[in-house]
Formats: sequence, structure tokens, C-alpha cells
Amino acid sequence: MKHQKHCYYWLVSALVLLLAVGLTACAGGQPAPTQAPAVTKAPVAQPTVAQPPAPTQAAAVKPAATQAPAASAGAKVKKVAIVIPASRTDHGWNQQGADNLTSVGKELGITAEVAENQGYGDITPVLRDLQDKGFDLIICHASGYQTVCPEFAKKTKVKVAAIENQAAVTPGLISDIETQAQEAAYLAGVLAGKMTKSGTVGVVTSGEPPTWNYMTVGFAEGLKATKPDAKFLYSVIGEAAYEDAAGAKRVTASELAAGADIIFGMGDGASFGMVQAVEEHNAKGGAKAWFIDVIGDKRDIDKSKLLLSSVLFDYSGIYKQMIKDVEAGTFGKVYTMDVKNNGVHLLDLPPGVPADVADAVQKAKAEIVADKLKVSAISDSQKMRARINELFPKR
Amino acid sequence: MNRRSFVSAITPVISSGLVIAAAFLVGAILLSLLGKNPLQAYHVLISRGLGSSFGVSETLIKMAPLLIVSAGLLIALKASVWNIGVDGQFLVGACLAGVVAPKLAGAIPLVPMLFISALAGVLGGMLWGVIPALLKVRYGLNEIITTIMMNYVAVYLTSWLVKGPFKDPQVVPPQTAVVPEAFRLPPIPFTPVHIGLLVGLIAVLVVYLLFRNTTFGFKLWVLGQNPRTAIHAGMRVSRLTVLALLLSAGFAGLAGANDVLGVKGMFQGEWNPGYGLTGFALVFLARLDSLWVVPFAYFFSFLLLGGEIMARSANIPVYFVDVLEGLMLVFFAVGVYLERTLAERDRRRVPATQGG
Amino acid sequence: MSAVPLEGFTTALLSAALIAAVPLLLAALGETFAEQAGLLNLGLEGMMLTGAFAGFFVALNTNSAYAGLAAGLGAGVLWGLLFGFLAISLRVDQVILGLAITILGAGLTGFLFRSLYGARFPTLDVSLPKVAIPLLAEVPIVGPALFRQQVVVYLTWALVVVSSFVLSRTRFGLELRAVGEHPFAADAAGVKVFRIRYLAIAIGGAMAGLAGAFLSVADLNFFVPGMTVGQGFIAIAITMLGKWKPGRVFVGALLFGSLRSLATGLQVVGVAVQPEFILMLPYLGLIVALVLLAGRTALPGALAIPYERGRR
Repeated sequence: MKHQKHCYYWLVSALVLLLAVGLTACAGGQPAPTQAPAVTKAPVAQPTVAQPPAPTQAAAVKPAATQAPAASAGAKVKKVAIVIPASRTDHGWNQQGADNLTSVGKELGITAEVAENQGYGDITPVLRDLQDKGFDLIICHASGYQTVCPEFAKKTKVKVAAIENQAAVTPGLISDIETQAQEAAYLAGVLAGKMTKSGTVGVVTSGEPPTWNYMTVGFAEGLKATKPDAKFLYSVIGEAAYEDAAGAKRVTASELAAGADIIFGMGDGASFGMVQAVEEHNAKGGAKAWFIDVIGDKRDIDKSKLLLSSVLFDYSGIYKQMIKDVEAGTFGKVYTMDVKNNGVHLLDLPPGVPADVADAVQKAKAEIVADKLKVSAISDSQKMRARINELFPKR
Repeated sequence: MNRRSFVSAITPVISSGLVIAAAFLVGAILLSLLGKNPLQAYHVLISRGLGSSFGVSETLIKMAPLLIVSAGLLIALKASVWNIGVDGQFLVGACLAGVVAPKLAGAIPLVPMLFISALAGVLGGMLWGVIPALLKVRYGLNEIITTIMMNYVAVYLTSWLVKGPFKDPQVVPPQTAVVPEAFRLPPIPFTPVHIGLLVGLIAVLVVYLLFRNTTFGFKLWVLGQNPRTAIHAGMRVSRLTVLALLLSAGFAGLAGANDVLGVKGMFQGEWNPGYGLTGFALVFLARLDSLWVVPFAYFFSFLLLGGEIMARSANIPVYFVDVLEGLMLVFFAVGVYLERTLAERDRRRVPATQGG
Repeated sequence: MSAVPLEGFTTALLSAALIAAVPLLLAALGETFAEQAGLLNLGLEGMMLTGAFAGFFVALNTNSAYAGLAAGLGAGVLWGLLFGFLAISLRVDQVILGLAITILGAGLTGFLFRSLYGARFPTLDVSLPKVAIPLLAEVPIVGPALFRQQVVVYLTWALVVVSSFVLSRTRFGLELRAVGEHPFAADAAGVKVFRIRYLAIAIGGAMAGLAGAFLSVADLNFFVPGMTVGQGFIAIAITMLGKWKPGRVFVGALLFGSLRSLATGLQVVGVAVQPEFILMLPYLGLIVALVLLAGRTALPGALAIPYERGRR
């Protein structure tokens, strides 16, 4: 009985392997004839790449000789995609990229596709799928994709945009998006320093990705500038705890109990737990605490009016510019979002904020715009911790 | 093959087909309820996932770590050692491989470089496996608890390592130095699939032979069947337990090295693919029968890969892929039941000469 | 440290520990019933998520927190019965089934949440009153943390006592353990093995569902896909740490909650240790506790083995 089963087993596996080898052997060649009409794309119709997809290293040598990267100048961009690590409705980092690209797509009348929940595993299949479907530009919306995407672009000549990787910039092929989030976070720090009554301000994060480290440092520097004797609290909910709303709530509640009356929270999905902690704290009576959010605009769910502001990112301008650059043949540069070009900015302050506070924020903003004020850009977790310890030495 | 054996050989094919059809049917109902066209969606799944060279080659690439992890799980689970710590062992192995590989790349020839890096992965996995193993034999601590806990500890430990001591200072995100592409796992000739797939197939084959042909495998099997028998037979149960967990963890670490050397080129923070869950399910679906892991691994890799493309093309929330995967698991498990019931009815009719 | 109001801070940490322990405790208590009856339910995580979503969905539409909690519980019972049907009646492999439910629970809830609400983020307008126990709630530091909590928290504690009583002092409990240890002997002695196992898994599912609903309806007032963040697996570990005794499970869950609070507290007061090592504490602590307190843990004799009449 056992023997027969294995007879059958070898038969099936041999068939499967044969099929697999047969199909993969022609991976560098023509698309398989059985492809769905919906996704079939004649290689000739692709505006940028003359050769059919050639993912192997050996094959990648071929196109380099014949093809100048900027040869695509003038070609109209029809399809743009964005790859994001988490959910497109996280009201944070992922949603911002997805929503901005979707609205740009609508405005320009081009296809904008969102590949969500990709994590940090192997995203090559998604990139190859997008390549097969003839996408003109892929935005790899996570600093964690900054190795795989440029490598993919070099192999396939598909244009990509990476996050925080200036070294990879290649004319006609790879662009880089730099977000000077620390600048707007500095303004949030100024705001917190001016608004705090208890003198204690807390930061809660659901991890330590580069973007949040930038903002933590910017916020701490802004706080130090306006309230040098402030007490600064910092706690991490957990590693990649972007969905841990319950954990976020408890950590935030602990910081509030430790005297903080302003919470600067970076959490994506977990942020909602932070908001609720502040809400319950305020419901108990006593001095009101505020929440400063990042990336998303939570005003529509802010029932109890505790949202002081938010560090907002707006990629639409950059995405539009990128598409223009691809069409003009000038793609392949560093795009920066900063306070100066309004790529990062603070959400409008709520009505109750005193005029002098708003003035202080405006003044700091003017200094940043005029290059009179330089906010440290620190992405490294350990350097970030060293910097906040230096600004607010532990007692 | 006589007629009866042909029937019994063809039964799994038919039942697998029915199982897959049933799971797709339930998925289709769910999609229809939400006003999506399931036929269109499934057409994309099949044509992109199975009917394109891209789909097949990516499926085969995705299969490699699952096969390696499953090979390790087979050893542990056959010996009734519940290694739930695959994810942690994977991470530590991947991290070590990610540290060692870029240092060796270029310094020594490709083959020894890959070999030593893979070894680093294996050692990393074993390092993480030896702790619960010793806790089990020394203090009698249940490995289910300790391995679950060690998974979390591994997340934080590797996170610290890659943010601190092993971070590549040249780049912004927490990751180790990148292995140049010329020093990654080479492709299998004439295919875009890297040799990790072969490593995975060999790993499964080795485990198959281990249990089929060696005394050590037999001892593990006895231990798994009944530890008391093992003790009475004079086997060193502690040693066997430690070895089972260590080997299992070593394979998990090897899978980590496979992904670093074949796919990612480095180890990075917040990367936790969680192969443990799928690997566990695969091994149990294969009913601890080593070679059956291979077709199941292929099928689930296809499902994960094609599912994502399907969801994206048809504008279905990507969570549907999990729904389909979960349904497949349930239905496969039910399929196993049906098959067994049929086989038993068969056996009752014709007295069996030997047990299954 | 001078600026930190010690009293309030300690109270907050204690309270956080207790609340963090509630979902773990509920799920682990349910798992205790299931495992004592010989059923290994690795689907806790999926059942909790389903409970969280069902609870949220019903509470949102009825505006009643209690209806939400009941829905979470009900969703858990449904999963439990499905698990029971497949694992007990059809003798399907429990490990696959559990993992399948974990994956299905995550998939279905995410899928439904996205399909129903898209990018909207509805929050519940319900709240469960906090009940202060007279006198006790006035004790400094400990009082407000222990004795000014939502009703559900007290109910959970009561469930520990009830479960303990049921498992060790009632006929049902005795039969349950017999079924998990020696189903054949139990069957021979006239115990209805199948019925007991069905009941056990239904209880297990109910508590897991309630644990999830506690998260989305009582602790928080919204649903986020994947919001249980692996607590189902921690609960399985706690069940085993507690050696399938409700009292010890209670201690295990509290210990884990406290260690999480400790990790927060250490960060907030600014201990000069890298956060990663602080955040490891709960997991390392549980292993250490296991070495010191629990020691050898023998699984129930027939755990994860389907029962079939007349077959050995």
C-alpha cells in the first residue's frame, strides 16, 4: 500500500516538474500563450522597453548595449503603481501614499494601481507582475524597499522611485524621495512646548522605522527650543506594532499618568488606541491633554476635540512631477518634500489655540524656510536615542 | 499496477481536485455576495499563477523556504517535538547569514562563500533551537511555550542587532550590508529560479531517507510514537529530543539563509515572513509523509502568489487571499477525512494484509 | 523622576497590566476547557479576531456594548462548533484546523471590514461603565487600579473562580478531564465523550470570541484588522504555563500583563537600556517564570488525538 502510494507520487511529481521546467525555461522569451486577455500585453506596445522582460542576470546584459535610458522621452505615461508594506486604509503612512497616487491618477486620467499589504518579504513577484502589465513607473513606498527596487529596475529597465536612497539615483531609471519630516515635526515640537502646562511631553511610537526616528528627533529639538526644561518621555509599543491599538492605548495612558499633557504619537493603525487613551484621560476631568498625530488627518473622527495638530505629508506634488519628468525624459533624480515646498506641513491648529502659540510656530516655520534653522535629520535608531538623551538628559 | 491499486492511486488526485473546487466555490460565493465576478477573478489567478512562465517561476522561488522549513518541521513533528519556534529560528539564522555573507562576498570564491553563509544560517537557527531544547530536557519545560516565547525574543534581538551592531551605516533603514548580486544564489541553468529550490527539494529528500533508511530516523519515529517505548528500548530520549529540535531549527535557519542569499541580499528590520504557520499546516496536510510536502508547498505558493495578483487585478481586498488559503486548509483536512473513510470502507470489504 | 507623579503613574501601570491580562485570561481559560477535554485549539487567534469584529459590528449597529460582547461570544461559539464538528465528528486534524481558523479569521475579518467600511473608520459610541467597589477603590495606588474597572474585568475574574469550580468540583469537570486523559476508559465508564468534547470546544470558542470582543468593544471602541497581534498564541502558552488550572492560568496572564506594563514603565521613566531589551522582558520573563514556578508540564494524555469509538 505504501509502495503504491509512492509510485503515484513520483508519477505526479515528475509531471509537475516537467511542466514547471518547461514553462520556466522560456521565462526569458515569449509570454505563455495561455495568458489571460485582460493582462496580455504585446511587448512591442511597451513604451520604454524594446526587449521582452528579461529577469535573469545573463539576459540583463543585452538591453544595456542597445538602449539609452533617456530614450523614452516624450512617451506618455499611462500606468503608475505604488507598492506599500501595510494596509491602504491605515490612516497613516501607507494610506497617504496610496491616496495621493490614486488622486493624481484620477486628475491626470491615468491608471494608478495600489499593491498593498506587501510586508518586507520578497516583493519581486509583484514588481514583475507590474512590469508584465506594462507599468511605466513603480513607486516603492517604504525605505525597506530601497534595495530590492533599484536592483529590479537595473535588471528590467522599469522605472522606480525609492524612498530615502539617494545613492541609487540613476538618470532615466531610478528616482529617490526624501521626506524632511523632521522639519514639520520640529514645528509640532514648538507647538507642544508652547502648549504644555505640565511641562511633560510624551512620544509614543509603534516601532522605530527611519521616518519616525526623523520625526522623534525633530519633535524633541522643537520642544527643547521652546521649553528647555521640559520633561520628555519616549516609549516604543513593540517591534512593528502598527496594529497593536490596545498596546498603544496602554502605553499612552501610562505616559499621561506620568504627567504628560501632550502626546506625539506615531502609530498608523495603532494611533487610534493612542487617541482613545487621551480621550479617556480627558474624560476623567482635570487638565486637558492633547494629541499630535502624524501623516493622517483624523479630524473627522476626533469627536472629543483633542487633536492639536498632525504632521502631514503630501506626495501628490512629487508624484505629478515624477510623471512629468518621465514624459520629459528627465526622470532619475532626488525629490524632496520639505516645509519649504509644503510637502510636509502641520495640520491647521484648532480654534482654541492662543495666538502667540500660532505665532511661534509660524516664526519657526519662516526660519526653516529661510534656511536659518537646520533641524537634525537622524534616521538611525541608536543615534536618535542618543540625540534625545542629549537634549533631555535623564535624571 | 492492477486495477485496484490504480484506483487507490488515482483517488488522491480526484479528492484533491474536489477539495480545491469546493474551496474555490465557497470563495466564489463570498465574492458574488459582494458583487464581484468570481470567474473573472479566478481566471486571473489561474492564468497568471499557473499559466504564465512568470507565475510558475515565482511560485518555485517562493517554494524554496517553505520546503526547507517543512523538512525541519518533519523531523521535529515526527519525533513529537512541537517546534513552534520556526519563525524565531528563521530570523536568527537569516540575521547571521546576512551578517556573514556580505563580509565574505568577494573575499573568498563564490562556492565556499555561499556554503559558509548558509552554515551561519544553520548555526543561527540551531542557536535559537538549543535553548528550548535544553530547557525541555533539563527542566521539563514544554517546548510549545518556550518556542513561542523565543519567537518574540528573536524579533527584538535581531531588531536590535540590525539597528545597532550590524547595521549598514551607508543606508537609512536598519539592514545589513547588501550582498552584491554576483554573490547571490545562482539560478538553476536555463531558468530564472535560484538554486534554493534544489536545496529545498534535497532537504525534503534527505529527511525522507533519514526516516526510511536510518536507525537514527527510526529512533526519532519511535520517540514520536511513544516516548515510554523509546525509554524501554534503551534510547537516550533526551539526546534524541535535543537533536530533533536542533535539526529542525537548523533547517529553519537554513531557510533564513536561503532568503537572504537568494532573494533579499541582506537582512532587514521588520522583516518576519512567518513561514512557520504555513510550514506547520503543510506538514500536517502531508500527514507527516515527507514527500507529499512538495506538491502541497507548490500549491500553497501558487495560491499566495496568484491570489495577490488576482485580488489586485479584480479590485478585491487583499485579505481575500487569506480567506482562500484558510478555506483550502479546511477543505484539504476534510478531504483527508473523506479519503480515509473511503479507504476504510475498502479495507473492510477486502481484509487487509497489512496496516497503513 | 521628581516630575513623575509616582502614585498616579503606578496606578496606571497596574491598571494597564490588569487590562492587558483580560483578553489573554479569557482566551486561555477557554483553551483550558478545550485542552483538558483533549482538543488542541490553535485557532484562538482567529477566533479572537472574529469575536473582535463581530462584537464591533453588532455594537456599532445596535449601539449596545452588551450586544456587542454577546455577539463576540456567539461568533466564538460558532467557530467552536465548527471546530467541534470537523475535529470531533469528522476527526479532521486539529492542528491544520486550528491554523486554518487562525488564517481564516484574519482573512475574513479584514475582508469584511474593508468591504463594509472601505477607508472609513467608524468608532463605537458605546461605553461600559466603570464600577468602583466601595471602600476598596479608595485604597491608594492599588485601589483605583484593582477596584475601579469595567464590569467585564470583574466578570473575567469571577470566571476564573467559576471555571476552577466547574473543572475540579463538578461531575462535568471530572468527565471533561477523563475525556481528555483516557477517552476510551471514559467511554467505557459511560461518559458521553463526543458531547463533552463539543461542550468543551464551544466554551473555548465562546471565551476566545469574548476575549476579542473585549478588545474591540470594552477596551477600545473600534476595530483594526489584525488587532489581536498574536495574543491568541500567547494565550496558548499561558494555558500550558498554568498547567490547565484556572487559578494558575490567572497568575500566568497577570504575570504577562504585569511584565508588559513593566516594559512600558521602564521606558517611560527612562531607564538607560535599549528598548529592544526592555520589550523582550515579558517573553523572557514567562520562560523564567516557567523554570521557577511551573516546571514539568505533561500534556493531557489524549491531546489533539481524535476519538473514534471501538478503535485504538
